Amino acid sequence: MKTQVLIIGAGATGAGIIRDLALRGLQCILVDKKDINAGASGGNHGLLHSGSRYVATDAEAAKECADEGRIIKKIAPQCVEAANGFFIAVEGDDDNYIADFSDRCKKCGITATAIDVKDAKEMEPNISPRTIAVYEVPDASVDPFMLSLDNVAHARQLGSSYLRFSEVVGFDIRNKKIESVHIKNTQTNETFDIQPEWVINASGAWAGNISKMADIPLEVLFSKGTLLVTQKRLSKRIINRLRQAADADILVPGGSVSIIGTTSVRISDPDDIWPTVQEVDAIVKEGAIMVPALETTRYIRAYCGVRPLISQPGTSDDRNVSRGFALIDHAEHGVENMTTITGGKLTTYRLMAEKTSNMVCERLGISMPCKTHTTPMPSTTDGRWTEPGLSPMEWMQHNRSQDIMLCECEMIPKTAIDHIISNMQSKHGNADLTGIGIRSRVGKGPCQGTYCSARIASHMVDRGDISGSDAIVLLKRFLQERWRGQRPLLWDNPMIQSELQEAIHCGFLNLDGYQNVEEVQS
Amino acid sequence: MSALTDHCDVLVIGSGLAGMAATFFSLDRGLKTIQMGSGCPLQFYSGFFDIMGTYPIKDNKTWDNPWDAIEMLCQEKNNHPYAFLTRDQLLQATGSWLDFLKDLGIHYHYIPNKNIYAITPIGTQKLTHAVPKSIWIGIDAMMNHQEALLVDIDGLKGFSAKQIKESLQSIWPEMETTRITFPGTSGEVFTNHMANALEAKAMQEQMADLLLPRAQRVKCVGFPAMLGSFYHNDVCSNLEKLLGKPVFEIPTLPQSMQGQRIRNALTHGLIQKKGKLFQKTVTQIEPDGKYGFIAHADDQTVFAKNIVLASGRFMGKGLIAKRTSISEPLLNLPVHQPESRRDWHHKNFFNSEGHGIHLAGVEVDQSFRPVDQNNKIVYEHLYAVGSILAHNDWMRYKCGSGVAVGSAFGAVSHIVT
Repeated sequence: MKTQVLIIGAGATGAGIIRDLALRGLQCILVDKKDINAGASGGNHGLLHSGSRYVATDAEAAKECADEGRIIKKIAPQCVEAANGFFIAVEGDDDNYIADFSDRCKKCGITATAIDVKDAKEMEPNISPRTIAVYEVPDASVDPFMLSLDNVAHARQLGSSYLRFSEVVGFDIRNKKIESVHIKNTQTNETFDIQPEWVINASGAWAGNISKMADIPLEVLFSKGTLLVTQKRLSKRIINRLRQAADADILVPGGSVSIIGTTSVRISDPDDIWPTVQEVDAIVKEGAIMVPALETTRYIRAYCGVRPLISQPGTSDDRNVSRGFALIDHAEHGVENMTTITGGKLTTYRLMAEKTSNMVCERLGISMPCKTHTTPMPSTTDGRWTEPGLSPMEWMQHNRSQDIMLCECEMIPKTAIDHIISNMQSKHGNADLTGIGIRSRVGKGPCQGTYCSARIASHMVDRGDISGSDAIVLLKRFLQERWRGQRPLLWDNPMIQSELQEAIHCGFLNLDGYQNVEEVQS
Repeated sequence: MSALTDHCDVLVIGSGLAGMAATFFSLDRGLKTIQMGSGCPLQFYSGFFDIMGTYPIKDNKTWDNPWDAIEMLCQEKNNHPYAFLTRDQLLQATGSWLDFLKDLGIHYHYIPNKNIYAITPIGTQKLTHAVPKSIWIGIDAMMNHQEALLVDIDGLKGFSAKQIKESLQSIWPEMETTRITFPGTSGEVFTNHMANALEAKAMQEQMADLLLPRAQRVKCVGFPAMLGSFYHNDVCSNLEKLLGKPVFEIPTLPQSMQGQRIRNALTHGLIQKKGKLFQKTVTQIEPDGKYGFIAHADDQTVFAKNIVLASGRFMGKGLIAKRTSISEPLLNLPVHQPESRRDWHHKNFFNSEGHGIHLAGVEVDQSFRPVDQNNKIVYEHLYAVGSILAHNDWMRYKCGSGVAVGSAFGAVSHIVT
């Protein structure tokens, strides 16, 4: 298989790059060892920063965010909910930080409007009664899954390809050039080769693993951030704590839920990440200072992402070094047709894609300019089922009485699942339950997949997508993956729910007796 | 509001399997018995009567003979509820319970001293001891390699005959499948609606007409659990006559018809035995020197000489999990539990040793009376039975029904009048 550019990693950056290059007329292949947004791009707040968070520590990053936020809102409005944001300070927060905030925003080109505290409490009843200062800024929330799915979908329309479950396992390098890339299909373990003119390593936290295969030294450190999803939406706007960036100080609404986070914990292996009970308790405690309802609300799920940090000696707080991105031309390391892009943040993914594509095009002698800041991103059907609360609305509007509701919590009918499955199958690899979870709200409602997982597995067997014994393996994998996010949040109603889940899947269906799925290493 | 008051020898709190069994054994002893329970926990019951299937769970060791498994368990775990019962008591408990159900029209089938593999709606096999007749016929056909036809219904979710066939291919290659539209339906269908519809003769005939041409070569015909509700036995025997061969059922994901039928039958049977059953939530219990206990539920007050607590675990709200600890809400009984929430659940959902939280619960003495940390009885006339008991991971051991019925029997037999 030949291609002009092979992009490794289907996160926001890789998805942004394939669209950028496709718009310049290049034919590219995007590969991922798992699927869309499997790393940090799927494990974040889904916040389109106005930049206000960085005004005190990194004015450059703040300006970038401000510019990029405006561009994303314009070119991909389907992925954005322009909810606006509050920055609120509570009693005891740093007075100087509060006093300097609005001027600092202004210097970065960000409008921060002071809001009377009493008015703010009417606009956002869930903020702390101990609130002492409030500013409104143009924050927005963005659906990172829809964003990446739409980027990839547009690139595919323009002739590029995306291969799921395709892991890079080695490079053939001759005369300082990568001639061939060895790829393993992680579902079937079959291998195949791709001969690219250029390789872009956009594998985020895994960038070091990839570059190592080409004998390129690149030390990546990992900072884990954990977030919690509430069952109900707690605010209209994004609520930020008005202070130096720290743990659990951003609450982002999206559709019918809210997300509170994050933490920052240095870890040694990006493939072994778990939200922990300690982190959950810390987030709830700290978040409740800003929004007291976080102490009593029902949580649906915890998840985490890994911020890749390119090693820089002497920095103490990962949060402060993690926001910039690293774009590295590997000619200096003896490989002339490979570039690594890593780090950065979701808000600036497009800019990162632009800079990377510029570098690659220049080296390939292609003079087409970037178009992603002006060309609207088509809203495709690939990402349409990812938004919380959208599916019930569609269902009510269309009232398809002949359809069958496979997921009752999030109201996802059979026709939607059928659509998602056929879309997945067009992108290499077999349809799987976890992939359906990425592309929809399946398993994300209060039942956490207890019922819908089994129903969808049965439906997939009926369709002939998988065999009866595959269904058992897929079901176990899916439940284990959801479990990762359920486990630290099991008290009150979620405890009842998880007991029902285990009663059905172990007590009744005896899946614990089927030991064909590998145990998790602890 | 005028207060309703009642007096009884035994107040059973809970209407799951353990609560029903405690009510039955108590009434059988001639004790004046009241049952209070909220919700319909038995609707979540699969109907599989597990006694003991897997031990030790970390080795996934399954047992052909449930009594041998219990013997091994009791040697190693002297705090499991089974350790407080003799084999004779357990045999008597399960025997009289299944006889009672038989009198109520629910015929359990089993092979003495044997476990069997039941078929689940996803085609896995689950070790159990006894099952209702309609389920038994399918298991028996599988064990005897009979040709069978499994019927799938358009619009029924969570059930795929094809999946069951494929999963059981190596064990039961003689099974075939067919798919029909349930007469008069389109779009999504539900087993309870179809079960009710099938109680009409005309519907049974339509069903038989649909299936006769497809079931020529097979010895029996299987369905998702939908063959009638109150008149399940009539529906089965009529269909068997019309088709000229036995019919069987495979239980569906809860809430299934199996659980509903058992609940209906038990409610009916216990009322016939002069039990007083209320769909009410007990909200408060006061110990009382004269009567034993005074229990409050909505507008009702019950003076009870004894209480059997069969309120279940988290689903039944017999136990409540808060962010920091687990408690028993009605009498604030001491709850045995892991030291911290960190130890409640393992990282792996299917962890071979199960989860710490499922061994949590109320600890009892040999007579099923809750005890505190010093092994001191908390109340002279309070008993705890069923899944609320500590050291009893029923989901993994596959021992839920046996523990429910056995502990209910044990507790009631200790009640002194």
